[in-house]
Amino acid sequence: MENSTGIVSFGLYLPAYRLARKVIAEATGGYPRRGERSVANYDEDSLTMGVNAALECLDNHGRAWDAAVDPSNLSALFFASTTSPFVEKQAAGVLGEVLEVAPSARVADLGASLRGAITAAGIARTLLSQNDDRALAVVVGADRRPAEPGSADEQSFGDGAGALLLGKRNLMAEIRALSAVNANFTHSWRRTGDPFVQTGDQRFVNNLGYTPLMSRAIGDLLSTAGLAPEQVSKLVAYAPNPRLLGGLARKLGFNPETQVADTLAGSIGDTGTPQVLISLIGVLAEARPGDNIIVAGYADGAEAMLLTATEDIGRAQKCRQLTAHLKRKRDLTSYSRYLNFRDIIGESSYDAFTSLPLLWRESRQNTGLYAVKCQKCRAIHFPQRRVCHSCSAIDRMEPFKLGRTGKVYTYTNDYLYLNPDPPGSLATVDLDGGGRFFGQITDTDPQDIKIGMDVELSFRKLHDGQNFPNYFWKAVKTTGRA
Amino acid sequence: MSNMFNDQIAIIGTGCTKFGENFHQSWADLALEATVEACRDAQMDLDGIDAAWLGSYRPWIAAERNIGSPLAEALGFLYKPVTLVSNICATGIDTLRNACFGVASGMYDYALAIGVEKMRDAGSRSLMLANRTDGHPLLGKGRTAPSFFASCAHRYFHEFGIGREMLAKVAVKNHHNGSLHPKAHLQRKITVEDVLKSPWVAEPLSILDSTTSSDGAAAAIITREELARKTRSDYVLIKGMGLSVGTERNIFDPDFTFLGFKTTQTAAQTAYQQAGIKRPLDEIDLAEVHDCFTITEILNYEDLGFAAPGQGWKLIEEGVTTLEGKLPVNTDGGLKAFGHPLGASGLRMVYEITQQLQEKAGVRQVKNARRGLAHCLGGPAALAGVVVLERAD
Repeated sequence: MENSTGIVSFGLYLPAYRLARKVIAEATGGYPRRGERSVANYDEDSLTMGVNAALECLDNHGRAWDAAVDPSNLSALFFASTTSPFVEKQAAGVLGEVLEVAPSARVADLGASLRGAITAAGIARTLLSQNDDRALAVVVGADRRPAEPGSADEQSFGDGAGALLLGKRNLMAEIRALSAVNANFTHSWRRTGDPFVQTGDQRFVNNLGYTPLMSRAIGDLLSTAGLAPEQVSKLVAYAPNPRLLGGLARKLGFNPETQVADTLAGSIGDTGTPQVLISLIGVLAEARPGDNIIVAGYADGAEAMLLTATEDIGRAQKCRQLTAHLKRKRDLTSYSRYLNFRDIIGESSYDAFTSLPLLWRESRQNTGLYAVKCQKCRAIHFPQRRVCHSCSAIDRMEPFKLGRTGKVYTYTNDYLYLNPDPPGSLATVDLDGGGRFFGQITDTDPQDIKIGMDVELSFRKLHDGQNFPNYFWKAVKTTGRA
Repeated sequence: MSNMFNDQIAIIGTGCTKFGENFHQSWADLALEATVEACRDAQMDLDGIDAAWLGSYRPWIAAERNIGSPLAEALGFLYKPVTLVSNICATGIDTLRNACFGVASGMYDYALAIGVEKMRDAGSRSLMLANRTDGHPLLGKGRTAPSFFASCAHRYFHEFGIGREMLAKVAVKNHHNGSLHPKAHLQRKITVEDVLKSPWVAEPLSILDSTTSSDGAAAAIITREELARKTRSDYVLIKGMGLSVGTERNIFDPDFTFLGFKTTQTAAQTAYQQAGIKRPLDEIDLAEVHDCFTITEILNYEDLGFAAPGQGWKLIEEGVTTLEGKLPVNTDGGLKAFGHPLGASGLRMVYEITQQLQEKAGVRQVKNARRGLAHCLGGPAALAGVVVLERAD
């Protein structure tokens, strides 16, 4: 175990909204599939979901290990997504700023392939092996994949994010082996500038791509580790649809009924890059010491990772669970509202003002959520100021990190301000630990908002003024842990 | 602080346009109409004015930038000093305040203080939504005037147990008063039911809890008292003036209660001290207060010392502030019914109080009115101005 690498903590993020597939089918005339899919709110993209999953991952570290993560130990950070808000500009850089990753850390985006999260975990494992045992790496997978209205993809896709904290001590599960099969096999693709994902002929991609490539990656992994399929507790494998995975499992000698992890296709949909992370998090909550878990990603080949749960796997139960995220759902009953969220119809965004110098100058305040505290009178000031309004001291401020939880002091639901999903709710929130947040409430039924309600801050896109996404925090009703 | 303005500065003429959707009038038409009326009232020509202070939130609707020239252009008031004052909703009172300094210094004998706003050349929502595009790209985005005061209302309801009906009574009172003034934007009497049924602007405030978006201008001509006596005997003296500017970021301040505003409290304190007022409810005969929303009028009662904290609503319930009450408030309909062209509102209040003190208010006349107060509030209660006026004779 001394030089082993594995999972220290995990986090996930699912958008609050669910759209029943029959609602899509009724609107588009398509064949209704069973279940529902998750839908990112209008203020969410893969980066905001990724940030929220990563923050939950660090919060869960505190819950599981009774200790906060020291950001200076974060030596690597990877953001895997096929739908980064940027084609040029690093999304992981935004994540790094929120997580306060050291400037010397290895930070990168892994785009283009849905198996990017597994690739990232493999690279992180190699990097960690070269570091001391305090070193940690964050792997985030997130997607908000665009599907053509009326297409089968539109019903099957879902939006979400997952995150893993990898390290060399305090492991819940050890990474024991990796395998990879690289292949120039085109299953799905989207050219630069294309609005929607395209997929090849179903029988061709499934029979000549998915099944043989995944079989080979998982088979290689089993033989490397010297394991038989029956020694594996759970197979967590990406699947564009669960039937395909059932067939693959049977072919490899797994029992699809007991050994295959739920891909959440029915309740969330095919989330793309994060699918295996989200599914794995559900598995970790129920794993026992010694359990072998295979995680396999697919696209342009396949890649698989063998995990073995440690004696500390029970700590996973102290973390915020997948079930809590599944409970947080709000039904989206209208297809046109979904199209509006996707910017396919309706008023797309605010023509607001963007200032890159201002965003840069204030990034620690606005992205890092730093207030200042007067060293003389201890008053907390957010937004930051140099002159204390309580005791008039000049330049006696020290940084003060705001908490991300609090209680609504007062609120309103505003019908005047242009909001893609009116009314726009605004809250004044007294933050736990001190300081006050004033801003928008999102994902919350306006009629549920009450003075005293518990909220937490969620990272969101505030506007796209002058074609640049401006990210900030909004308040959402607090999600439970279980 | 000295009281250098006590009994020094007198208002000798006032004018005000009809407020409303004056689509037929330009910014210049509004400015000229208010000025001509004020000059006629002061029995003087524009030539006699030495300097002007122009209050306008956005004079650039009539010009190319923030500049005093639109007034010079409109009035033919050329090659004389025009100072532009822009301090959001307290602009009108701050314009008068600055004009007073010019006259009190002795440099000018007669000064024009005028507030002009052309709101309806843009959409009715455009000004309210300015922070959609303007200002800090992140902090406070989504905050509008209604959303701020609606947040105050929710907290006030939570603390003091009143509901929307009490706010509605403020609107009913002010609409009633507005219906008695031919220059008011809204002339329609309304009921509590009407307010409760009208569409939301920002919960718990409906459209009928909210002020209007109006065009309008109002003006006052001021001079030193020794000169005022030559014009008329019923001139009105400026007895106290306070302006208090705080921060728009009070919304982030953990100690900010949303139940009262230090800006109004401190501006009133200054004005009361200068005017020698200790018991405002007893010593003031009428008041024009900043009722941008119904809740705001109730909060103003408390901040101005008309009622104790948490008790402002009782003045409404007991009818203390109706035309027949002990302290009539917003006798011309206020921002609620008379209208709210931002830079003009403070001077519109001065116009109404002067009319009342000179017993020219007709059916709205408050009996034995000798002393009146005007109060403006701007931003998220970020600044406030208070003026106390008194009839001279």
